[in-house]
Amino acid sequence: MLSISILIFGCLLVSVLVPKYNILEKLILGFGVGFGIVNFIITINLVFSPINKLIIIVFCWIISLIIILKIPRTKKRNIINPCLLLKLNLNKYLISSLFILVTIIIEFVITFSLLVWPVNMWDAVALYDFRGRYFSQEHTLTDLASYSKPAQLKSGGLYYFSYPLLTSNLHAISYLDGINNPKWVYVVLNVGFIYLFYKFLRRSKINISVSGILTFLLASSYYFFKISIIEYSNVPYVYYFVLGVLYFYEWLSKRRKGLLILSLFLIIISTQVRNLESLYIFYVLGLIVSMLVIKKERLRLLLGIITVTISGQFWWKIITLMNKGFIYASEQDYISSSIMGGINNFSFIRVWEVVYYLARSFWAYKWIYALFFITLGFWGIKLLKKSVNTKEHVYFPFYILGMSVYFMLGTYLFSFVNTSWNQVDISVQRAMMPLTPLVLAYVGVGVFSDNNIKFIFGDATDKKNSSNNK
Amino acid sequence: MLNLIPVYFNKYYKRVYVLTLLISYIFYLGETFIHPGIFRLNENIPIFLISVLSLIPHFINTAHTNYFKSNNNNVANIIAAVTTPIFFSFYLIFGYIESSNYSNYVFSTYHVYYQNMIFIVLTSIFYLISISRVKLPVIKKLPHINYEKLRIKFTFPKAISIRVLKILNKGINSINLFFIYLHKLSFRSLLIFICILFLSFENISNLISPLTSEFVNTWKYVGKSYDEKMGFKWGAFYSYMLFIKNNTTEDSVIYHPAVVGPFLWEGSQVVLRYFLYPRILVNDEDIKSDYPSETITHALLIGPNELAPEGSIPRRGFPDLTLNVSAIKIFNAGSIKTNIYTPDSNLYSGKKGLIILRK
Repeated sequence: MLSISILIFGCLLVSVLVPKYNILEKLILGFGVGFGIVNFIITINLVFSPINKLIIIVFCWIISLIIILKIPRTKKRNIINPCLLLKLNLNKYLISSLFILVTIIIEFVITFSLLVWPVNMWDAVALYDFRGRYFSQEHTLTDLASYSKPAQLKSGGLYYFSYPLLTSNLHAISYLDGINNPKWVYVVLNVGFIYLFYKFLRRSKINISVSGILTFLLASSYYFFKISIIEYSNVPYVYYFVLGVLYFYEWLSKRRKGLLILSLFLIIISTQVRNLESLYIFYVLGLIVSMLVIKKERLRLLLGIITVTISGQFWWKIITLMNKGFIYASEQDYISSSIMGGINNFSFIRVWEVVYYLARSFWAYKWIYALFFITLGFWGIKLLKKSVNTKEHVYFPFYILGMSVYFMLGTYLFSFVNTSWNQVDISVQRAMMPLTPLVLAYVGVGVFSDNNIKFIFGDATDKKNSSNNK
Repeated sequence: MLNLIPVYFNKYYKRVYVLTLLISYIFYLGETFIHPGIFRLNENIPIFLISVLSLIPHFINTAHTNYFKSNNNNVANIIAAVTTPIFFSFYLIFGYIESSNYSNYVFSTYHVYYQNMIFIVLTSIFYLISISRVKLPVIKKLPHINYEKLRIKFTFPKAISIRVLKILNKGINSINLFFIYLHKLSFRSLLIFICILFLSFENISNLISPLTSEFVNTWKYVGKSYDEKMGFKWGAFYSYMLFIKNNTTEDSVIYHPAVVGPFLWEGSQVVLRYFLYPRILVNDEDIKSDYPSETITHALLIGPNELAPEGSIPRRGFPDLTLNVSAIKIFNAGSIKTNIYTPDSNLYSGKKGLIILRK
């Protein structure tokens, strides 16, 4: 009942924001956005009392009712229209059948594995699922904070506050609904993300075959697969962060108010999944630049900057402060000592070691980087020919290059506070997960969108056209 | 000057091209059948990269001239076309054998490092693509097929056999269209195409084994109980946790080791808490910060490992102190009736259990 109420609330909200999306997209986005917003309510609820199902259900139904009453009749029909499902032209899938078939097989194995195995990975067991189970058994955040007795600080007390609550709250909702295996949530987020990525490419005027191939490249990525079959917070983070970035790009192209709000929702929610990477900083920088360029939207963008910053920088700290009486002090110490270490002990040898180490870790992404730089090269040629719109060639490289430099700088600073800094290849590769979908989306819109097709086919198309003209 | 380079290459390229392909093959076969790394200059500079780089002059050449467009009988083309399916089949078969047995099975049984075979496949395809700029015999319009004649009578119903043949025809057409598409690609598009192809192959080659093994392992556990599944994932540790859970009440206070050396799992309070909640878990640090030790009701028992170096933590086991006990239960081996626990007793070596301090 709780999950269904949240899903309906999310779907209705998304229907208002992006009324033209198909029902499946609305369901997947509605799931993400609905659960993400309810997560904030549950977190506030947990500060004062155990999770109160009634409050959440009443909240969802009141908002849903308001949305239903506010939506004009014509739009109301679009919300729950099963006929839209029939518009999925299966015949089109057969065109790029091989790639889509392999993608479906991969997604099937991921779904199968997630649904059969119970929560079993170390961090998922010790942190995400434990908190979820704990909250579903009528405990509050204050109870959880009781594990942070001074003696337990080193043996796990702070551990429970090291990540925000979203994934744990998703587990808690499942348990409260009587579902014993909360991993169905990861199935929706993972398979849903792949589908939404595909739909983004299709909406960016990329033909069905290329969209199919790029989606296949994403789904078949080794690290994406390995992380998708485990119940870590990386996949939910990629879902919220990458979709937020993609919808913001879509907003830049189409300037529909709903897309901006949807994108803001997704990024704000992403800060509640993982706060370690703080990639939202790039989004905030993007908002600031957009605010300077797009004068009409200044107010909305400013509000966006404020809400994302509060959510990313302060929300979780305030929650921990309210429950433990102190901010996660070691985190502050960690950051400041690493920055001071980096400045005071600067050495080119260490810089070289970090670059060499990261090059080894990034080697897993060699073809992704190759694709990225070739696409950038396209832009260079286009610039020389003075024939183009450069929006996508600024937007995506900003994130991709920014993230790469950010990870390099982070690793360099990290190397001064942790002696095992060069033994965390898997963590680096996991942290780099948002890179793959962003590069593939960039290749799609930068090279394969309808506007560029003529450019790709180059001489052949030109010759054909000229011969036709003759 | 730049224009002279292709002219120079035109003269010798055909031979150089075949030679680079053959040298690459020799390197890869050595890497596959002798031992991986035999030809590597450095761990980060594999032969694969070198052979790809060796093709750059070829691309400069084709970008400037139509040299290959007039050569249908290129030797390298034939070699690559013949070897690609053979090596790819080998790769898939070995991949299947590996995934249906255990990790590194192929290497330990046949002494073949089959993972390197994918590089031969990739190189062959790389050569094939670059040569596909040669005009291939593309049938732009397929001849009309008389489905009625081709249909095998009495084997399939008419409708099905016609449909199958139509699909086949469509398939052949799409292969032809693919080659037409390749003809049309410009040099810069070819680069993107090659990258996508390499990425697809890398993804598939990396994914085949984990994908199949994940599916097979999961399939084996469909319908099994939660305990059986967790037992598979966590091994003996999960059974040990079940043993502790079954032998303690929910209000028990359990003394456990710190997270050091051999006790990474038994010492992790957060992991123990997941399996043993709501039991209270206490370690030395808690006792030091005034946790009332007299409330402790149980202690984990991890017997000494006699093979560990003298004086080391595993050699002493846990707990490393003499205790007055109510009883000691050994995991998978019944109970020991005693009133005192001594850490150096041979009774517990290599065993795990639960010390009951008070009931």
